[in-house]
Amino acid sequence: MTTTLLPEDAAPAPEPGPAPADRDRASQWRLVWWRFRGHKLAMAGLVVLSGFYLVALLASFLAPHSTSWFDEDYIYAPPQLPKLVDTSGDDWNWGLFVNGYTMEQDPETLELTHTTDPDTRIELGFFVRGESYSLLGLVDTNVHLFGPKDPDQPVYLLGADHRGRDLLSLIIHGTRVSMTIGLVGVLLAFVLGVVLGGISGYVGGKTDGLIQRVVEFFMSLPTLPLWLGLAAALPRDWGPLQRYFAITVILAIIAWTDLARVVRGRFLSLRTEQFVTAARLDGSTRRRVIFRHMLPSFTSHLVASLTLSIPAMILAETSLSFLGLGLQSPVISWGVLLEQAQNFRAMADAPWLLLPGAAVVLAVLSFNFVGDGLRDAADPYR
Amino acid sequence: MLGFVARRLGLMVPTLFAISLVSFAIIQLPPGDYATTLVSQLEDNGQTVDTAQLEAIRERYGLDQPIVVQYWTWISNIVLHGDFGQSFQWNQPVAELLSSRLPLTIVLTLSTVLFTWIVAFPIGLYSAVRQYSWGDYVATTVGFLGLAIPNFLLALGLMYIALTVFDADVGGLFSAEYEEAPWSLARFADLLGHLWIPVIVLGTAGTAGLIRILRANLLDELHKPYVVAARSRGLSETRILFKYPLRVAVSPFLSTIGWVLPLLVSGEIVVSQVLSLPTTGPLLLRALRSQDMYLAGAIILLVSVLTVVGTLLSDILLARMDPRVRLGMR
Amino acid sequence: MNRPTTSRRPPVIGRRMFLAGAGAVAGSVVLAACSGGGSGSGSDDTPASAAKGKEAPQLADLVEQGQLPPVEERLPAEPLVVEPNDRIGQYGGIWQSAFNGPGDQTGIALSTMYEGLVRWVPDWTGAPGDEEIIANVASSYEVDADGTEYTFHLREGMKWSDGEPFTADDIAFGYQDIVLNAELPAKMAIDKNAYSSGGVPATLRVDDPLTVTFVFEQPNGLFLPALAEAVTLIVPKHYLQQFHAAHNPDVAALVAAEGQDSWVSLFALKVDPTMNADIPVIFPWKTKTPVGAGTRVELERNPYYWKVDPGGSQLPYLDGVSFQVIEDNEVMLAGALQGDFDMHWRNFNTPTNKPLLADAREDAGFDFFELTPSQANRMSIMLNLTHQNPVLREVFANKDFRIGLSHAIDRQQLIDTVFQRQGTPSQVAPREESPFYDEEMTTQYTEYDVDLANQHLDAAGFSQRDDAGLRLGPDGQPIRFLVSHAGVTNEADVLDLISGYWAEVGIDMRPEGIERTLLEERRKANQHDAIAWPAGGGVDVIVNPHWYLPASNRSDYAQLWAQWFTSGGAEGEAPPAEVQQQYELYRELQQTPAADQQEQLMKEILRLAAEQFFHIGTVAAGPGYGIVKNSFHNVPAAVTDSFRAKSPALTNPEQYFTQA
Repeated sequence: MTTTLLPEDAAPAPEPGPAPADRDRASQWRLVWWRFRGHKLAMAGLVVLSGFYLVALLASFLAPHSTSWFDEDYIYAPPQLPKLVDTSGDDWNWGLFVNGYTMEQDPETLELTHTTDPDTRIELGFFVRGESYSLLGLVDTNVHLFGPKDPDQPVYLLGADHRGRDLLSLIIHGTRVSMTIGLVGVLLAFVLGVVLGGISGYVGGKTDGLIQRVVEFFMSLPTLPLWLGLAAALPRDWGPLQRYFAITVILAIIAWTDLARVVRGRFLSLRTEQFVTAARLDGSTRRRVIFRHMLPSFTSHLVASLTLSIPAMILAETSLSFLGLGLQSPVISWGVLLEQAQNFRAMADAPWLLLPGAAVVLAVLSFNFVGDGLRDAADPYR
Repeated sequence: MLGFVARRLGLMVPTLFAISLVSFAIIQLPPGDYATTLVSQLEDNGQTVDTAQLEAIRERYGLDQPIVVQYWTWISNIVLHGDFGQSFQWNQPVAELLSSRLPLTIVLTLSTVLFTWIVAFPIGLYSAVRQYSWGDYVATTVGFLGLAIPNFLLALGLMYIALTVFDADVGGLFSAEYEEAPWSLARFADLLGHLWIPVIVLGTAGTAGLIRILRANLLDELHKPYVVAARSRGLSETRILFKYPLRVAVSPFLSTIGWVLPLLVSGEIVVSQVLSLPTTGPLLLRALRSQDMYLAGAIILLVSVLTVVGTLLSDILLARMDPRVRLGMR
Repeated sequence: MNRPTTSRRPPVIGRRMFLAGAGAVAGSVVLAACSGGGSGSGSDDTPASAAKGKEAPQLADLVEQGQLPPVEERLPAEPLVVEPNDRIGQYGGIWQSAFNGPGDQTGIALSTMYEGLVRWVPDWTGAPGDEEIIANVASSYEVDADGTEYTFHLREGMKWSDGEPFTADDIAFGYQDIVLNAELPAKMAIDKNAYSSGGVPATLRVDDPLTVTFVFEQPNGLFLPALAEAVTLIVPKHYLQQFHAAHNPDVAALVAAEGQDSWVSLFALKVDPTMNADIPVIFPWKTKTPVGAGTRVELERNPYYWKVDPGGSQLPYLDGVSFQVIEDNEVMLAGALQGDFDMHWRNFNTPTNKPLLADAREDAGFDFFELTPSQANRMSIMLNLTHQNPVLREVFANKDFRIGLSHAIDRQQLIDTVFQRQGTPSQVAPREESPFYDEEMTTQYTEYDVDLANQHLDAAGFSQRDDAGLRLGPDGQPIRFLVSHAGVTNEADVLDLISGYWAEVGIDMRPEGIERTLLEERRKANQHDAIAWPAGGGVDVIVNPHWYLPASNRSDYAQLWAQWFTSGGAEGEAPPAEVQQQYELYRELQQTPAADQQEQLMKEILRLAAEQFFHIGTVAAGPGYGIVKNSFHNVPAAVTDSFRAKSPALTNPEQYFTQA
């Protein structure tokens, strides 16, 4: 590999790493990891992403409430501030709690006002008993990481939505769907793009021409009517989640084209590089030339586009929900939650409903930083 | 080169034919047709429409014909007479509808691209040259924030701010008094006053992509031996940067032309819808929703043609920039 | 000008005639009373009226320049006098409003295009007979005793907006060449049934240039309401005949020139005043910029409008109307918040948005007026009683099953959670304002009682449950079905909650939000399990009966029975005896002209409907709202919200005016 040809360029000086003796024998991916650790934003991104997927895995345990839980007396209730000490009585009363709200509605304007009620004290605790759920599909339990000690009492650390549901719980549950639903589609598109783009660029000639026409064809296909059409064409007894998943997979058949063009372009320019000619003259098989010599030389770009397409999928989910084509309630995803925030009423009276947007931003940023870090780290000329 | 272009142009014909056929079929894929839409609108107003009437309405719009016949009528009119047909919903020739919306769509798209380039170029350049500096981190983060915030949310948020803080007129591209007015400096100023929201919203998303690609490509180039060689010969950093690496790294900007071209016609749908812009995006969305198939078909066909042309253009430009690609094309 | 009356012609049949004339006056009086005080008794002599003259200043200028005949010649001999709702207004100003663009022309038509031979009184409640119908384009009308002959007297000297005389010929053209044409009604979805009785369409007799008579073979009891509601009949022959194949043998040339496929398409385009600015009209305003031509639809004053205010000044007061095209309702809301609209009542005015608008109203200078709902229910769940699948059909057809499901719904919680605490628990039933209101029918099975629900579901024969606690159907499988909706308002939220309630009693219901066109296809093909839809017929009980008996393909709870009824037994499936009895009663009603008999028959139909309990209602809507600028006057404090009654055109927008 090119990396080993230029060992002195392998890592910038300040990077932590084992003794040089190890380095000569380190695999390419270990080198990548060493360099990746030097990219602060990327490391931060990686930590955040691991956090998100952990949340997705343990959603039911982490969320104080389930997605169907609501309290109609807390519609659009603002976030509650957890307090440690209760000074409303004569004595100081220690313990984690929040105050409840009393809600009133103006009969003419329909405006809702929430007043903090110092007399209602909703005790919070860790590892409290609440609604039962199945943890990881293995254990049935009703222990939640934190929540109200009395499970019937309402707690809204991030405020409530238009139906009096707990936004924090909804965001936590939404993580599961939003961070995973499109992954298969993205991977499928990635593999198709690399393979077809690679063949097109390396083999060239008639094959290239044919694949390029196919690429153009798919690029020109309108996706919006496809969404509309597929939504109707899929079996009715599939749930909304299943449908959405199926559509992402079907659309992956169209979505590979961008990457294919990029990969092809790279192959075209690499074919004439000396190291490729050398490898070919050396008697390497075509497959070996492609996979051992050419592909690794632009792994960085591939990784970059892969890490770009995952957040694109998260964003697409939100946009499609907006158009009414994506996931829909009762499925809980960030897109579905954001749909509720897309009106002036929510912006004016319940701006906390935009918080799922913060989750989206954080996740998308993290993916991008990780992608950037990987790209930099995999750069063979460094 | 000329031979290459001619051959590609020749190949476009069958591609376009296939695209038009499949697009037409896809437009028909959603259940129902324009007659269904019309009937549901009538029913919303209390009218009862029986099956016989539904069939008669289908007949009126020629929707009772087999899809192959419908396709043939449609495509032959376009190819032979340049007639894109009639929009059912607007009761107007499709060509007329498009020509009233295209200019503003083009203005919006071009302004957006310009905005993207102006913002992305310096940031990308800076963060590649000063990799891992605080400036790099800040610039990339800001750039990516634009990518990370869902467009429609940004649009709605900006609109809300414009409404509550600046008490500005939101939605659309003109204030009421300039909507139908002839072009004048004042009208142009009014357009600019409205254009900034969609341009920022649409531009921010594209910016991050370009920053990242420019930075990535530039980094690739900057570490190549020829740069090291140039540096060792004592060329100035600026000169090194601008002479070769930048030329190579800038290719993604050129390839954007490939997607800008179709966007000139289609516009961006979601944001335009949120902001109620008089561009083609909402027109297409509405046409698809109401199954106004000749209108939807025409827009999609135009977009397809421009996608194919755009691809060709960016291929040619890439080839001019990069001799290796040019050789590979033979 | 002489004070015009609507009853100068000698009455042929005393009672009818009297009612018609009195109705017009009564209507105006009621209209004036609506405002709730403030209407001065001697409004004729207000300075505004004296100063403003008999016509709008710009029209007076045109007369001066010789481009327009004087106002006396433009008005008919007996113009209709419109009592202003609050006070006599002044000329000038444009009514700023908005709509969603093509497909939403309804908003324009409902605001500005309601001029039939007869019309509803402004405080319409859906009473049977012609109590609430008044003469309009016709100066008077007569109906013979058995309801087979309807004679209408037109106004002498009344003109189209281009100055051409309006005569019986135009009515004849509208009826004979449009309604009775072989192609047009089907292809333009014109309801021919309104003009027929016993399946035979009426014949039209032109008695003289100002008198027309519709003659039915069998009595038609619903003809006047149909005319008061649909106004397709009144079109200008002198303009439209060039587009009609029977009148213009060379129509093909025009069809080709306009790029249309057929003369029917061309005609449909030309006859629609929202799409075609050239067509002469008799509305207060005529189209200047039609739909699609720009970012607005603009209407301008009709110089030949045939109504005057009590001071004899020609209406309308407003110079024009301007509907901005705003596709997105949030953007429309933004416009409302900024005070862009003078009076607006559609699309943006959800209960959710009311607090925002309430906040903004002081700065933007507008206030609310009440929209009195006419719907029977915010959302009705119609289980498909004629389901293709015999198992689900058996389950749904079980009345105990439906009662059980109804008791399982916590309607108060629905109101508190998704309906902004507005409305009352209700089945699908006539509203309290309606003469057909029946408390028992409205409230039956609305009590939230899970135990009672379980008892009914057990009694229905579905007491067996599976491991998950789901009730088993007759086939031994859990009862499981979809409720489809098109997300018109907040069906998704409501159904989400109901799905939870029903899970509590062991029924697995899944909401299914789909595109509107798909929903239409499904229900027309009887492929739905159940459909959730807002139920009409809250006030328009007699003319919109399909919520109470499966009489048309809008009756999603029993499409096959409706088919059987509309096809005269040729298609669909024969319904049970009680439903057939309903059909017979309704047929009788259609041929009964007497209001009291109509009322009796409809009440009997409703009694059977309550007994059948076809579909499950949720909540009867509370009052809605529209907005009106403080400088915009004569809009009543409450307007019935109904497309059937053509609100707000029902409230005479020609007398709206602006004054700072």
